[in-house]
Amino acid sequence: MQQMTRRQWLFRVGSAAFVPAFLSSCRPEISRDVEAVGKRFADAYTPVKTNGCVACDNCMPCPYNIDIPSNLLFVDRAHEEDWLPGALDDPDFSEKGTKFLARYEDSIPDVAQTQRCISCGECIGTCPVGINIPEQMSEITALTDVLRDLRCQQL
Amino acid sequence: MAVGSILRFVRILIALVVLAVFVGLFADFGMNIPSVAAWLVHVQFLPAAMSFSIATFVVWLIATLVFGRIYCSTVCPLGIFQDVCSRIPRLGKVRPRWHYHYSAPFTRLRAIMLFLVALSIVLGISALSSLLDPYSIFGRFGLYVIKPLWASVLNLCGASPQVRFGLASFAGMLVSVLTMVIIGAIAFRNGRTFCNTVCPVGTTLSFISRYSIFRIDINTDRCIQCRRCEHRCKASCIDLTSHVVDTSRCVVCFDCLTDCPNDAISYTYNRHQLSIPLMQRVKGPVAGSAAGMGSGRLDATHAGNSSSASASVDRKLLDRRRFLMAGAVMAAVPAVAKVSGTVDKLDKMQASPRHRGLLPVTPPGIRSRREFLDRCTACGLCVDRCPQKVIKVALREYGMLRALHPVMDYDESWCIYNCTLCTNLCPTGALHPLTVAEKLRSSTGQACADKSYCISYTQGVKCGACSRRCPTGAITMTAPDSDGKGPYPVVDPKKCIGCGACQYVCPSKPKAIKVGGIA
Repeated sequence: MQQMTRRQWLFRVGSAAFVPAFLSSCRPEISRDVEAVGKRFADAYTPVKTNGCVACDNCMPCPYNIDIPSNLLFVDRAHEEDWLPGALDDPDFSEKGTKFLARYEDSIPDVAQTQRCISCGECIGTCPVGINIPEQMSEITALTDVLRDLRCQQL
Repeated sequence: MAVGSILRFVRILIALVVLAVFVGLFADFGMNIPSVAAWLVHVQFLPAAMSFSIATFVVWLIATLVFGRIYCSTVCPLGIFQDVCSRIPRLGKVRPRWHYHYSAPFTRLRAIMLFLVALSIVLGISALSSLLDPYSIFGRFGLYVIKPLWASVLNLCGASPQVRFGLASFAGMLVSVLTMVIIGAIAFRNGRTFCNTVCPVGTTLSFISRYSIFRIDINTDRCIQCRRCEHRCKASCIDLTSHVVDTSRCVVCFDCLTDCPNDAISYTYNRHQLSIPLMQRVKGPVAGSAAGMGSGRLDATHAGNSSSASASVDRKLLDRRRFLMAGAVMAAVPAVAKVSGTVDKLDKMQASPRHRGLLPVTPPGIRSRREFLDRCTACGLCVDRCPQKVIKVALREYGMLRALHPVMDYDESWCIYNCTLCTNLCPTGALHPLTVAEKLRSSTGQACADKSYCISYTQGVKCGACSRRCPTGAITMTAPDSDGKGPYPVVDPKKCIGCGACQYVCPSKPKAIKVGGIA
């Protein structure tokens, strides 16, 4: 075998030691553990149904400041314009979901979003078209929970 | 094209790309560029040093030893920002009347500033290191200034859903605007003065770049003394009287290479051998001229240390100096310990009164609270990138000396169970990277329920929102009491991970369930 010069040896050892260490210390990889995507939330998720809200505001005011008509109308609008996410295993779930979540957060402020609903039942019976409001609220919450988890995985 | 202009073009190209990535990362123009940007953030010098990623640190030291301070002109976002600022008044044909001029190095000031910053890191007063670290300065500028500015520009132009932007913190904005205006103004007038006086990274690299292999070299045979390079040098490091470039301050921008009318300047590993002995650089006026004329040696830098008498004097002086230095260090140890004790006391005094005795909650991924507080340089990257916007900027939560550190604000939002973004982004090692599996197990805080505020217990409202929202099922509602009061939440401390979902949804005012940090 040909003998290495000292310079070659230094170069080899140096590169063997530093290059992988440098690359690993930069650690750009963000873990994408898709299996763990909100198991609990995914189990609780059922596709959101449309409601046919007429925006009469009879259900308001909500004692916990949730803007019920806006949330219901938002779901209906999403359904009409075809970006309401369907079942979890739909091929376009993530694409529609990204759009849904971004618009949801843009159009409804946090304090008026459905996750603050405690299902107290004050609004039951006020709706002239017979929407089960607490159930709708929990459906939307389950959807946004799944979507928020998904967004964190995609970043 | 000449070599010099190619080098300069490449330098500017890299710098612009890096600046664009940084601005995009912090201002968040709706782009998703985390992997490249995370890489760039993780190779920043002071964050790498703080996170003990020795390899990055050593690679930069070696790069500096070989090529000079290329870090300062290509990778450092604040350095590029200063280049942009200093270029603005010098763009057109009409150059400003003030030129750059050679100035003597502020060696003592630089050493003192570096010492102070190092001391503040050791003592855990992150206020000073975070105020002076160039990456953190730029990060805060991006978060507090560029981001809201960009959002308001978008809104003025009529973005169809109005872009929402929370002003992260008024104090943070004030600090970042002030630092940026000061640094920008200095750069506008005097180029890289900040880098060569105060910047701890610049000073550290200058210790190495002094001995760099590749460096700017002036060929005195070709130099026509026009002083164009000196007036072009933004680091004021070209001393044309003695034809010496101070490589400890040179940021290797290659501007002088393109400006020389007679190609006298080159970037090379060869020191130019001076053919005119009288133009050598001399150390002391007497010793230097004697040595230079007598021995006839043409070594440019070491003329003057040849006589044995002066060498022995030097050694004696050196010994005395060392002795004094050792004594000073020994004497400083108790003083430092005292100061560090005082700092702790000061911290405790200045921290804002804790709500119901709860500690502020840190972002996930910390090893210990103390380590987090010491290592964080308040760059604001986690605050900026958090998709839930739950990480806010602390004012007095951790004490005055740790202002602008990230803190979780569970009244505004909550931490997503599976999200590990901030831990993977943090460049300083204040937050250690977590996998999703680790995040599910690790805990940043502890929920504490107080049934005397709970509307379910006191008013009999059918609530239980906290137990329904808890991702780990740590909260259970008790069975209703026999005396007619409603159920109230009970937290299982073994399951609670401190995500704050319960605090966020709690409808009671004040909140019946709050999350406190872990000491």
